[in-house]
Amino acid sequence: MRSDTPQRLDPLGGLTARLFAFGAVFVALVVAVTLSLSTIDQLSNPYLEIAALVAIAAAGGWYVRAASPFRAPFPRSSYLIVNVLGLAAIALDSAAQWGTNEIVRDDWGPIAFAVLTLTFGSWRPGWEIAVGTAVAAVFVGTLAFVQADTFAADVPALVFAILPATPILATGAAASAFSRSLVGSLVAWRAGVVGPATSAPSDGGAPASHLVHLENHVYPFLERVAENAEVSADDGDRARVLARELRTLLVLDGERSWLSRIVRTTDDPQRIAEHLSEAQRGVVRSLVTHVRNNAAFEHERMRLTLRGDEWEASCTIEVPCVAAHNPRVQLAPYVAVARSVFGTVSWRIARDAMTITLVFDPSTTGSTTR
Amino acid sequence: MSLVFPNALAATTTNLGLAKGSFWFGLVCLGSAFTCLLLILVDRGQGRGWPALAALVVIAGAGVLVRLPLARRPVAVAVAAAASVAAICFYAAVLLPNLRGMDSSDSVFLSLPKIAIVVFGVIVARSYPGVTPVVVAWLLGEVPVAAASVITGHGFAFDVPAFSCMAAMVLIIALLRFSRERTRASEPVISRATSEDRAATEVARAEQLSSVMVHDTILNELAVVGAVAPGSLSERARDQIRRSLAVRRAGSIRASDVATAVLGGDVAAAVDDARADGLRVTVAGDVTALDTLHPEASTALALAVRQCLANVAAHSGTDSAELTVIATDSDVCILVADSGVGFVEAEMRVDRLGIRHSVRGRIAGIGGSVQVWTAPGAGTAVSMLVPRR
Repeated sequence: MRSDTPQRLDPLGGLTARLFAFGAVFVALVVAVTLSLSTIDQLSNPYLEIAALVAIAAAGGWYVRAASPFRAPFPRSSYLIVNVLGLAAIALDSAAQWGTNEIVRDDWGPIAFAVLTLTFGSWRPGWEIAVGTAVAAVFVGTLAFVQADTFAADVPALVFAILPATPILATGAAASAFSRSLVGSLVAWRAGVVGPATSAPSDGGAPASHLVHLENHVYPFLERVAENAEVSADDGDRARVLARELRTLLVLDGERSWLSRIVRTTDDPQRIAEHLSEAQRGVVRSLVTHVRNNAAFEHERMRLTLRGDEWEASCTIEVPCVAAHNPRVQLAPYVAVARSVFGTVSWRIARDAMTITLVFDPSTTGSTTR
Repeated sequence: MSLVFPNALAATTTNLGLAKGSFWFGLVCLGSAFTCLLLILVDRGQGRGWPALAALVVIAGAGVLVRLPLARRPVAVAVAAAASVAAICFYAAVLLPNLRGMDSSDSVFLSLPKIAIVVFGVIVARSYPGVTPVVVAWLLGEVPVAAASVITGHGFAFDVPAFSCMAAMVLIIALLRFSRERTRASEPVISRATSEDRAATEVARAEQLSSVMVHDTILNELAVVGAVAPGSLSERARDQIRRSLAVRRAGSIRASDVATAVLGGDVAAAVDDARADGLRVTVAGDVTALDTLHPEASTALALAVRQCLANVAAHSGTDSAELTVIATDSDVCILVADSGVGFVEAEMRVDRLGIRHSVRGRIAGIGGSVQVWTAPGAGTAVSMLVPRR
């Protein structure tokens, strides 16, 4: 089964979705507290009700934590934890009203769970949400079914099972379809895209030094030699000097990595930068551009360090921060995108400096184009 | 491949996902209402409520209609809206007399189809952007049910679930646009970084090829001028300088056709030129296999062979070299060997670019590989293996 998620394929979409995760958690908690208070006369055990509220709050807290761009992508384990905590809240809410629950429709557990489920579509694959929804619906339906005798309405017990499961089934089906639709659109886009149009590098466009030397010194000299019938001793000396200079510049240009062209202070003795994939180079470039364009950093003092061995390498970006600016929020999209193409991304913003370390496997991402 | 999904497409794909999700949301609500009613009707064994099931099917049909591509046409939306209103009117009229006296217009069995109509409004909002279709859909469901409820004596009760659903959908649609603008603000920077990297890669590749060509042409000419005694330069040397300068005039120091014109684009020409410079070159093996190579591979191989022969002439201390061609079904291998002084490759000065750039770099550039066997006093053999493709 396809494991792609909208967030993996479009990390920036995950940032948008996180706002909805915040909103869903807020609404779920409001629903839980409000309905809990309004049905207080149906409670048989208030302590269990408090435990239920704690459980739904924990589910919401874990959800928001896992949806952070700094922790992207949203893992299956977190989806499971949120589901389990949500179902625990439903079970505790039912237990708190056991034997005294008169109306199934005003139970907040399934509604709060459904509100959370509605926003899962951005984080997990459609099939996974469908499975989680089915399990939750059966759980909720079974809980309601076994309490059917206490409900006031005169309808078949199965109806009591279906009604509380309906919000979960509806939001789960919607989230699953949303996820499948987005993944389908994103995969189709990736398959069809031929790559962005190239644009001249804003930070590494200076011609190689040997080309400048050729234009300014070597070509004029050779043109003069080719036009004249005689070659003087000075011409011979000049040719040897030019050859030596040109050879040196060719070596220096060959040693110059793409990274050293965009960041002056680059420490990469093992030439690890050559092993970054195109996507990884794009992330490093975008991070460097972000640092350059953001007033929160002293970009002139930015430093890149690359270290590693055959199996694991790291690219560390260090840049001093300007006091009075908090770069964390603006950094989120870049970290989210970085986490989609690097094995590990760690970051630290201390009082006076920001450090981002991007870890990758150089044996699988080697570039042959440079 | 771009790293991030373009902002220009994000709204379209999200709205499509939202529409598909809403469709299933509505169907589940209708399915739930249908199943519950069916169970109740079967349990009670009375026939008066059965037509309500048909009304639910009609509302589901309206959802299917607005999901079809023709829903972009106002007529289709109008038909779906009219069908929904008629169906929910009929549904409420049939159902309400069968409900308990305490039940009103907010009964769960009335809420579910109203919610379905609201979320079908989200599908319409894909074609008619904004929150208006959702609010209109909510009114289309709410007003007929409220009217039927009042008329049948059940009174009016504000339907919190249906209203909450409408409010939630309105918020989602409104917030999506607002939040997308904020959270995707970095997309142009990241996309530009990708395209700049692509451009920088091309520049780097061009410079690498350029340095190889410069090594094989301009550096050679400077060496010739630096080595000759003061006086007249031979016409052959002058011609070679002019040809090397022609590379610059051609505007591209990396184009293989220019390389062919200036340096001689095949192995035979490389051998002939080496022989003209006084090197005795013995050729053996399946020379005809060279004709089967791709033009790009052929040129790269010829230029690499030229460099190998130039190295023999300049550094080996011998005036003879052997060139052997070995062909398999998939590859062609050329071996250039001499019995000269040899060298230690690891101890080569970094500014000796012949083997590194003109041989290894070129052959690697066409997907081939190079091996060098040499030792001081034991001669040198350079093997260049290139794919036939």
